Amino acid sequence: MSEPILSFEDVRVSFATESGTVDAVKGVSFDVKPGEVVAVVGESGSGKSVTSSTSMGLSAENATVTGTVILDGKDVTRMPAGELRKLRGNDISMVFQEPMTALNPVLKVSDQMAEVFEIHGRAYGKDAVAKSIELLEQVGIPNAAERIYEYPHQFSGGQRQRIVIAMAIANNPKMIIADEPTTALDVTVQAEILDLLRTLKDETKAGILLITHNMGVVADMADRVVVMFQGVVVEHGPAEEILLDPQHPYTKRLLEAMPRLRDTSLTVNEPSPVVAAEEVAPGDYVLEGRDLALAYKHRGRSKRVVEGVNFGVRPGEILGLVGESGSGKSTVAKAVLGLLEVDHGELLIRGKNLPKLPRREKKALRREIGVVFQDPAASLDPRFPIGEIITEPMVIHKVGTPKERIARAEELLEAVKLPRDVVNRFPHELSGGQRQRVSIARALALSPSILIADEPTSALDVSVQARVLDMFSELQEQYEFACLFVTHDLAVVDQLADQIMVMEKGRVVEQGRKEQILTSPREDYTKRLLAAAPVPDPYKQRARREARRQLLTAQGIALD
Amino acid sequence: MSENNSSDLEQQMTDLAEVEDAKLQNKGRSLSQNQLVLRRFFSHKPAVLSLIILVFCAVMAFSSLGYGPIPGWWDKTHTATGPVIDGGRPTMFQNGQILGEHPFGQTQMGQDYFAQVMYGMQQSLIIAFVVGIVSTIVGVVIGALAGFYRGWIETILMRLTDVVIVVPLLVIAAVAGQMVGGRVWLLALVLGLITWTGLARLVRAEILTLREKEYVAASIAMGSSAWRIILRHMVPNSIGVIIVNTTFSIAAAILLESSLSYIGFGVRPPELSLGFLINYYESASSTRPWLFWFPGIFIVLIALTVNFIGDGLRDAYDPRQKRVGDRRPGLLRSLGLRNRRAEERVAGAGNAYGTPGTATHPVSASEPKGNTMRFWRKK
Repeated sequence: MSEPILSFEDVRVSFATESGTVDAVKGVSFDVKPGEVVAVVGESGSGKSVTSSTSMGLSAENATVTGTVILDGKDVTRMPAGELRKLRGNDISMVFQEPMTALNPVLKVSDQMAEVFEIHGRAYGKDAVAKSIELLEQVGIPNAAERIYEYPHQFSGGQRQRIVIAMAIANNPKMIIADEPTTALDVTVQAEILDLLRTLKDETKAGILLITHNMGVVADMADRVVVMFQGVVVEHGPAEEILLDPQHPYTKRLLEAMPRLRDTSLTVNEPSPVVAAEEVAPGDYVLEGRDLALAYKHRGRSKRVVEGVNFGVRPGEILGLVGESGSGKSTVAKAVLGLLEVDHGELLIRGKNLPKLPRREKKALRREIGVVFQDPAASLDPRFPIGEIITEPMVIHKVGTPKERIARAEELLEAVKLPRDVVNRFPHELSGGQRQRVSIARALALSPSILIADEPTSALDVSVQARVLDMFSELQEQYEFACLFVTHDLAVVDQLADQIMVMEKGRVVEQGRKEQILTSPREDYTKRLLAAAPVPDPYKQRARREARRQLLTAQGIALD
Repeated sequence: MSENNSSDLEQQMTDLAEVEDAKLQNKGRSLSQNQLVLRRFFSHKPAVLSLIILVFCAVMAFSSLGYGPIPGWWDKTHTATGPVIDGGRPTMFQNGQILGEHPFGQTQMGQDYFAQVMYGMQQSLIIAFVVGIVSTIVGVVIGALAGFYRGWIETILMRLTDVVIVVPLLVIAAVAGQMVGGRVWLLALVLGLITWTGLARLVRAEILTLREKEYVAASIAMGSSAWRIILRHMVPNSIGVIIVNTTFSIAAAILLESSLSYIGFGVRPPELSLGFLINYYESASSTRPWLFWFPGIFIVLIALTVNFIGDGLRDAYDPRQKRVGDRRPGLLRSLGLRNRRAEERVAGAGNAYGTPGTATHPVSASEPKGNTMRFWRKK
């Protein structure tokens, strides 16, 4: 057994805050050996990122760190600032979560990459750029010799993450810390980045500390897993053991909470028989889009982002709108909410064409639509108490007396399983999941017949997401609203939706019943999407990886 | 004790949602944003001290002479003359008395200078606060309308703002001051009508960012009217920017009024203001220096305290400025007399590269505590 390259021994971190000291990490010990991927899994507040940042001496200023972090035989926690700087980027480096902000937008990629070499005195000027080009080729940026002189915004999100990774491996570090490296990326891109990390690990023999909340990523990458909860390691061991035979109740709950995609037979390439679309009378839909085209106006010019979209949602049915970023799925939701004007086509709500209605009728029709947005931090006005937030739709539409409104708010809070006295609390006292539940309560205040949910759970932790989704389907049965559920997560759709519509680049790729789309997709894009979603089972995931490889080769898409 | 209990409980629970719900149950009284801000403000010592001083000045100015029909406790007026005692020297803290007959001395004509300074301070404070309020109202209305409606409304309002900005403030103020003929309330109103530009731009910028917030989108989707969104969602959420800039515009108004009165275009006799007093007794400053010093001290005191209050409010409203235990700014540190962090850095710099004693750990410009300029005025 080789010596560990990085080891944490009884690390404790506490933060001094306005309301007193908060213990974020309460005695964590584990180590990482060269050429090994150790995944630290946990939800928000588990202390996983705080723990890893101690290994680079990057703790926040109000943090107090005790215990020892030993990197390659040296104690990082007691190192002076100058020594630490020599260490960072040289012996240990980091891949960040958000590729959009990890690169400096005003510097060319060549300058930023050469910097890594120049700081540590490895190479200067032209040599450094030449080395950078080699690295970019290694991480799979096509045409690297020319593209290196471009600015970060000229690359796609996945390519930017590749550049960040290239910078992290530039000085052959012994240890790479990847803090949620794929969380901000689409599933198909995530799969590519994970492939890249796997190859690089084998090439460089560096130890990788992978911080993630996604059990699928863990199954795909990790050799060993450390599960953290509320600042404590609750369980650690080899990935297979933890994922397939978890011991601690928390790990079990975490795995249960993860929405699972049904097994799909992606290898079946023969077109499945086209089921004749059930004929529905137009009046049957509560929400219907006919040949919808939507455009954003910018400086007087309009740019179409969605074109030729047809869909219909029947009462009490959930339509899952799936797509990656830039597919136009949220744009469709925006149009239904009246936040964006319809460029072409018809948008029918209960048979009435919304864009063509006079203003008063439009407002009246808004009572029929509830909305839940993605970001729990921004979807509630921070200055309103929860009671006022929930009753806002009632105030706008002048429904009920103040007393009745509060009674309704309390009733709704109970429906979303929050205590009644929350009416007098403020959003900043609530966690993300609780806020999202308040959001749902607000959306239901007027008992709408249509609910628009724009990625309502994608910012939440897995177990919280499971709670919210369970609650969501319960409420759906109870209130029987039709729902347009926008999401990027196929597994969530599998759990919730009746119908699925897959979008890519502003156009509908495939739509139909959930079972049909998920078990026997007809279009290549849908297949790729399904193949890219990781499952929390290392053996299955290995098989899926192979299946994805074959699928991509069959579709004529090159792999790096 | 309850802290320990709850953390034990956390360990038994195995679901993050459960932990969060339990935490919510255990929470004590809810504090609204305003209450939180007030609490933070009152832990900012320089600001609280400044508030006390400012209130003391205002109470002294208005209670000593009274205002309008209400009589004050000081027995002399700013116009009545009397025999000049001891060359008009201040009697404050002289011969074992605290105030004496003429605490701030007398003018050449034997008028009581304490009464004059108090009267001048009344006028200056009235001008400062009226200017602050008027410019805030105009600035908020114009900024909010421009930011919310965009399009041609924004173009017109913002070009109007640009026009007001490009005319030198002192010139336009001097012309306006000339027109109102030295009447205090009118002068204040006019000054308010030309100093709203900065706030209008700030409010517009704030509204532009608030437009993108999902709670605003949700409110639009619910069908609420433009007025409801502006008044209930947008303006309350930009209140931090508004209040902070109002305090700074009050400080600026004190100085503007003083400069105007000093060059003779502001308050004119029979009215008085602090700036006017300095101008009027300028020639006597070598023989009777107290005639210059007392109004000068009060101008500086008011401007400084209002500025510190603004600083305190800004820190209280800005959520990025996390104040932690002993890292709250003490009086000395905010006056720039002591910097604990700098001492620490020098002490720990022995092993660092570069010039000894200058090593710092990476402190970004966005990190408020690392920014040594942070107690400078932010415009």
